[in-house]
Amino acid sequence: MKGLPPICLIVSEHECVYDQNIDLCNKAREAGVSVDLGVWKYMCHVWPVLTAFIPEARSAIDFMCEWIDSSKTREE
Amino acid sequence: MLSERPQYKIVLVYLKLKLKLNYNRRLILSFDINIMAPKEIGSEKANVLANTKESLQEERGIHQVQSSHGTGPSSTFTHCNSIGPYEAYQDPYSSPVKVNKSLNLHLGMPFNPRKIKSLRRVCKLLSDLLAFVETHLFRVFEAIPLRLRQSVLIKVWALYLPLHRATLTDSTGIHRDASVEYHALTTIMYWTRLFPVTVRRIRYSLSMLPVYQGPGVYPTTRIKQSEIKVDKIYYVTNKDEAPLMKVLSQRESDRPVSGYYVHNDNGDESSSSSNKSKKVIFYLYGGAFLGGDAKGNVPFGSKLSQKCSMDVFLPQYRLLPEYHFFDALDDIIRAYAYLIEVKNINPENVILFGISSGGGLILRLLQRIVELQSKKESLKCGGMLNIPNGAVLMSPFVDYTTPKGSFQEYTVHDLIVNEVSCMHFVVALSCPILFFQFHKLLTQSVLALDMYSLSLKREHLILPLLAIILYVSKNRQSTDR
Repeated sequence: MKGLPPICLIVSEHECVYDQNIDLCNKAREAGVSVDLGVWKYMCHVWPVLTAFIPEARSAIDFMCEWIDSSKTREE
Repeated sequence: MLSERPQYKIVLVYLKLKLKLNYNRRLILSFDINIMAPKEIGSEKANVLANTKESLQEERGIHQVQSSHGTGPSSTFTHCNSIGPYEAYQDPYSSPVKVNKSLNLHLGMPFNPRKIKSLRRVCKLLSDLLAFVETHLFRVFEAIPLRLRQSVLIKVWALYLPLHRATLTDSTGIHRDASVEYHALTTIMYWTRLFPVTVRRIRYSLSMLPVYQGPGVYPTTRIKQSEIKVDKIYYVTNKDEAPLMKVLSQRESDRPVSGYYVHNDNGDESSSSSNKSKKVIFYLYGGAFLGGDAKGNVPFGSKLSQKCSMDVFLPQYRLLPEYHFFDALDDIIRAYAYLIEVKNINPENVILFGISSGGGLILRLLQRIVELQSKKESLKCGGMLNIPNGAVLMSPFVDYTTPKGSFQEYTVHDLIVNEVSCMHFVVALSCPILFFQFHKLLTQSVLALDMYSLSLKREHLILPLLAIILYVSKNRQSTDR
């Protein structure tokens, strides 16, 4: 895990992979990797793809894109 | 006193209704808890509690964020950017089983009682009948122009949503705090859970992703979808010319790199020197390693490309029952090497983006790069082996051991991953050859589809055994010759 670049982790509190994602986040942080964790509630697995239907997906997409934008400036 | 408050009225009406219909108790309980719990605490006490909670969260670097898109409490999410560990369950004694007990599962409908069982049998019969014609049906559906399918979907949704808002509102999803849209979506998706899932169906539904990404769908782009330039990539690798690919990929294979490349600058021809400063998203699709394709993700990828003003590269990787996990990993390693070496992109300008199983692959790729950096071979590659700028992982699939915790418990209410697809995944990952054997069996006979229905559990054991016997006998035949 050591030496990994910054990670943006998007997960829902009520989806299948929640436990393993929190484990991943904590292990990465232990190894000194910066992890930005966004936790939504009640959503299903990979809900950000469903932007056509649910507002939560839209906010998740915004969160992701903001993170990507900020990572651009970090580089410079 | 009770009847003065409208919320309690709702509870009373529900109680009456449920008693009349003799429904299961869980719904009533969940409603009780959700509505009464905040009222029981005095307002002052609640404020103090909330304040201490907030200060505690701030200490840990957790922020409650209010987004502009949603309505009501659903729009809040937690953003945690501290360096300390994140507590999965705020209540230390909580577990996925306990969390489930507090949720309104299965739309408040009993999942196992007799009525649903018979309903399931009907669905099973329908599914068996469908199995005969589904390939033709899929083909017919695909022949309909994409634009038409997209607009029909949006119109149906626009019709259904107000209907749901007026009738069922927030009683059907897993929790009242979720948005009404989510409740409506849950109601529709609920019925699909009754149908047995097969690998073919997983793949088909994932290849239909462009239907959900019509031009009007968020994030909308300034440029028309048809004007965005997308290149189809098919690159036959030549290892002599590509030191990075040689170092990164441990396998000897001449498999070409294939995928799609979405240009953000509308395809203006640029020299290789400006490629160095180009920013690219390396996008890996998901689908539990069983389904998904690069083509289906192009509309979503191109929208991301417009929103973040970056190019997007979507490589294709091989899928599980037919191939091994390491084949998939090798494919994406080669695709990454192609992006850096042939496309001449600076790795520090690359953002890796993975959905579900793609997220797991991205982590493996990163670990491989980091591992190689410390070795002597890396000198050959120079700056090409630098670490990418960052990685965005959307609910990545990283734990390939036996399902436990939320991965086991939450399958009952997760709309996308249910018990059957989870089982597919586990079987396919643990013994791909075996899975492929009875995957073939499945496509040959409809009877074998039983294995994938939730109702028959005994067959789970019999069919793998049968597959082993078949496999062994086949091998013996070939060795006899």
